Amino acid sequence: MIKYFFSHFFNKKTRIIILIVLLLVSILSVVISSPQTSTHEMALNANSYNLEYHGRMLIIIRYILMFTISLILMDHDAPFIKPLIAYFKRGRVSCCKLIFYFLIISWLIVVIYSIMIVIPFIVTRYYQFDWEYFIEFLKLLPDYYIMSLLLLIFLRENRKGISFLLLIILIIISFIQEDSENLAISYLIPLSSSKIFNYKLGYYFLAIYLFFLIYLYFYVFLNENF
Amino acid sequence: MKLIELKNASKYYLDKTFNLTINKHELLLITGTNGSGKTTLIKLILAFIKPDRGQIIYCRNLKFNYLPEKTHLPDFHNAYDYLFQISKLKKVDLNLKLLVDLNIPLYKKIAHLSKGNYQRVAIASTLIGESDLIILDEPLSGLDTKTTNTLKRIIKQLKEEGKSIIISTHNPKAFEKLATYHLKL
Repeated sequence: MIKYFFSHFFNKKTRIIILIVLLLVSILSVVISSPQTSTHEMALNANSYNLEYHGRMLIIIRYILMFTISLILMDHDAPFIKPLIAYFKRGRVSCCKLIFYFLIISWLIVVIYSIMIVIPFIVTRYYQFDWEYFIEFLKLLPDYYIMSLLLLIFLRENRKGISFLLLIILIIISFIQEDSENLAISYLIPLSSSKIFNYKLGYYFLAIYLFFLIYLYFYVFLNENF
Repeated sequence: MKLIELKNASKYYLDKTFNLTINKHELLLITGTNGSGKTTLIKLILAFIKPDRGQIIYCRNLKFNYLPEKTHLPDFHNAYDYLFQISKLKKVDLNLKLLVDLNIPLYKKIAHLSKGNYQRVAIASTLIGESDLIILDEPLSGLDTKTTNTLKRIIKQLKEEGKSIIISTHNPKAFEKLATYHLKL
């Protein structure tokens, strides 16, 4: 069934969105990684150039991915699912749909991160792969899963505007969390920018939060009217 | 043998209650004016919506082959690939006779199909699979007279094979002779 979802999902619109996003990330990666400096200068200060490149790219990729996911998930409540529910029942369809979107989002993240690594490796002399930067990137992943689960729960075919509304809300929340020491908003939506992750228990809270959203997704899908 | 029984089932927005028994090997024809509750009845049967009053009793966990009023097929596949995928998904062999009977342009991309051909592919995809009940909502939408006759023949054959079928249509004449019951809403 995941294959079937794939064939419906990869329509012209989605292909164009993904292509544009990949092109955009590639161009940004080239522009940001190649400052107008001599190669010797870059080789001498490799660490600071690496740091600068990763810092800038992580911020850009974070918002590009959020935007892309909101566009991709906009069509998740497509009407083609109804005959599947009639034949296979809600439980199986909801499960396959969740796995499908997690796979697509994971694939997109891997491809974009690969571009972010490969391009500076080709166009610059200073680039070095560093696990620390990779771990920084991994910390962003729960944001995308939280966002996609919220979209799966709240976004419906006749209310597609929610997709952009949620995107804006999450961006505002991430800004607030970056500057504020108050944890109250982090309990509502624990994004990676939250100070909650300064505490070890923050990660447990995140895991429980994700399980809760998955439970809520199944509850809504199994009980809603089509 | 009873498949589904609706006992005083109703929705708050509809001033009707449904008392209906759907048996095996029967063809139920549903007709009615716009807003008379045809789609609501089908949604109740499919358990897409729950009744606000009354109850719906299923003899067991039923499988439905359902053709919605508005169909959505993947654009960039050709008809054969799509139907083959459906048959794989439902774990049955692709019924080539059905494809020939419906005269589907198999190697044309779905995005390039006319409305009638699109509907034929949708009907074929619905009839693939071993289900307990086939539900067709406005199956004649966009079909020409020749294909309407072919569909009548296919449905007659399905009925003779012992399948249970529900058809909701604005054109009852096409299926009146085949129907076991005609429900006018």
